[in-house]
Amino acid sequence: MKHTLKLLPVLMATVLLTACPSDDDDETPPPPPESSVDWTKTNAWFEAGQNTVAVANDTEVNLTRGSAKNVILFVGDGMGVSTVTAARILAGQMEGQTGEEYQLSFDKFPVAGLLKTYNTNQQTPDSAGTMTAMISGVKTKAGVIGLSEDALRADCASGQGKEMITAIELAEIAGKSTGVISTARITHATPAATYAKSVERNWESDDGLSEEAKTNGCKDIAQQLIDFNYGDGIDVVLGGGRRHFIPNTLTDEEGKNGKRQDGQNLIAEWQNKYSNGQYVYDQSGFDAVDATATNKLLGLFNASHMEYEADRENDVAGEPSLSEMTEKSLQILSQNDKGFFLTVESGRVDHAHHAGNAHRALLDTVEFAKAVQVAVDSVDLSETLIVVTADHSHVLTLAGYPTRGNPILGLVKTNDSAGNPESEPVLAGDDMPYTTLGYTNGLGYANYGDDSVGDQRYSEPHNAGRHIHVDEDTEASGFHQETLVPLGSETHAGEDVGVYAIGPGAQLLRGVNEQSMVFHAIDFAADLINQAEANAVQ
Amino acid sequence: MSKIVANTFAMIVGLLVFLTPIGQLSATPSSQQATKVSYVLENDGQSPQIITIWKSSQYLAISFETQEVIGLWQNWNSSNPTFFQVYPKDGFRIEFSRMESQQQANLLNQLKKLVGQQRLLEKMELAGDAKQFHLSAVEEGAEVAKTLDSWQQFATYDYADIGDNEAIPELARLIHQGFVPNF
Ligand SMILES: [Zn+2]
Repeated sequence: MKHTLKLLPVLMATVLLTACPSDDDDETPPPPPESSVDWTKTNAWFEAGQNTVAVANDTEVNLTRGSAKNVILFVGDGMGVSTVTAARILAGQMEGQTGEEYQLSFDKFPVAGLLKTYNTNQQTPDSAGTMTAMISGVKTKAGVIGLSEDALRADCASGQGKEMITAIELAEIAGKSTGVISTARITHATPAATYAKSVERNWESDDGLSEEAKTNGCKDIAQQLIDFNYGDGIDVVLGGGRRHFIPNTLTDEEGKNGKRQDGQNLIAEWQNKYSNGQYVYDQSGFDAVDATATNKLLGLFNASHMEYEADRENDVAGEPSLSEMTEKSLQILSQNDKGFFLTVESGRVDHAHHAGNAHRALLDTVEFAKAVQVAVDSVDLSETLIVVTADHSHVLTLAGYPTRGNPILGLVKTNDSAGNPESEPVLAGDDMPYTTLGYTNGLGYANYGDDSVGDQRYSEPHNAGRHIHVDEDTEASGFHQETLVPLGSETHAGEDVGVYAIGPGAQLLRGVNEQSMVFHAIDFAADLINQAEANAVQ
Repeated sequence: MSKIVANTFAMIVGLLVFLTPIGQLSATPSSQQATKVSYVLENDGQSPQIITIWKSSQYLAISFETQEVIGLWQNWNSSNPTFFQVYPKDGFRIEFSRMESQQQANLLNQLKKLVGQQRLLEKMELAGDAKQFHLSAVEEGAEVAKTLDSWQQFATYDYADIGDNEAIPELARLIHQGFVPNF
């Protein structure tokens, strides 16, 4: 193990000095980025993860390093255990069942465990620090992407020399195909952690950079995605965030302006860089992509985040679903004999929760589970590790004693003394009914009915406390659950999240682990570091 | 530029914006012929208040005398405008890229009636004659354009990202400082 880590700097030096051999496709890789990274740095988080794997390797049977040719990491942003339970019940009820007995795709996985999500400086974490843990094997500060905890948030100079390698970068160097999918902006914290190093998650385009950042040469996140030069570059990139790639003087295909102040059109840059690549911005363009004839795909489907699944049909130009994006990506990536690494994020479970809107959060979770099923159905599980998890939880609770099969978005109807369901909602001590689902904090109650748009809640002040009445339609898409503590938005929660795994190496994620263990399990299963090294010195 | 020429120019630019088809990348007009207009709003039974409106080919903004927050639409004359809440004192903007609450849509429509044409309305009545607008001042030129431009430099956050920016406590505070009301 020590041996491997010591060789890492050799590996990186080689890669940075020579064009990396790659079976990925026929394109000549462009020259590597100028700010080369000193990969000699590992830290206590990294070594602890590697040690945990080493111990497991001694005790677990049927555990073989490198037995996973392919890896898919699914992240439900903000998909805590209560969200999974509620989404499972909703999915079952949408199919006419009582719901509790239903199994989401990843409920059926043979391995489950728990991940401790705290950031190095925060009990309750954010996505930047947590995704860095999962994709680089090192916990770090909230708001910080791809850098160790020594970096200070929003301080460009403090991050220099603190860059951590990611599983996507290793997979590229190893000659695998790679992909990043998100329903959030592709420059948003979770997807960004797969390819970028930034002391500030909000530096998505150059307009967000501070003067200090510009002076010290920090690059915005969109720029880093286009500049990514490991292996032959990321093969499939699908998500939102178009505005961070185009100048503020340009209006995009959906009538929205870009953000860039440097005048660059990074979409055009990408098209120049990958002359046989395909760029798409809407559903029809996406549908027209012939996966067998494409080895580089960039899809930016919205100026900002993509639509919630509940609102997707209302999008101006039309957007693919998460499961459609997953399916197409797998068709493209699986053409590489050396295997692939794909990260799929459902980025807006988090946003719906922040708005206090369980309806949209759960529908996005159900779609996320569908995307996982698409993966299960498309790959050979004897050579593919699938990991499904969340970056952090939210303060959603399932409360009261609703009877079996009670609508999960409904008012609580309990059982009578004989254990049979009551016909009317139960009333609380204030003579008002209550919903099963509620939030501890946030903007609180509002009900816009079924004609609402996502995040409409932010246009009105907070409204904590008790407001619902007995004949209220709490299942409407525009219903926002009640809350206790009035805040500008509902918050993340600090309890552990579930991790669900299937395929070679899955058992490494059993038990209670630090979140950074996700990287180390993946590294062991796919032998990423060693394969990257081997490919680089060929 | 004479008033008539200026108005014709504004109309052509406005038409260009309006006619920009969805489905292709296009350059937004950079020319900023900007106007600042004040109206006195008399609302039955309430003391009259002054509303201020800024208008260029790209932006339409409104501020109420009683509110610090300014409501601003980018590409206001297109089919898919972007709404911002601008907080000039704090130097922040919150961007509502896809939110179209009925309230926002109504406000924009009423504003378009008031100042959206090449000629500003001298007087407008709403809700029967319960609400009356009287034009009180008009200012044109570089200073107005400069104000509109200065707002574009503010730190801007998407409404959907407020929850992930606990490190910027101003954001949560701002969103409760008040919202852009209706007339
Ligand atoms: Zn969040």
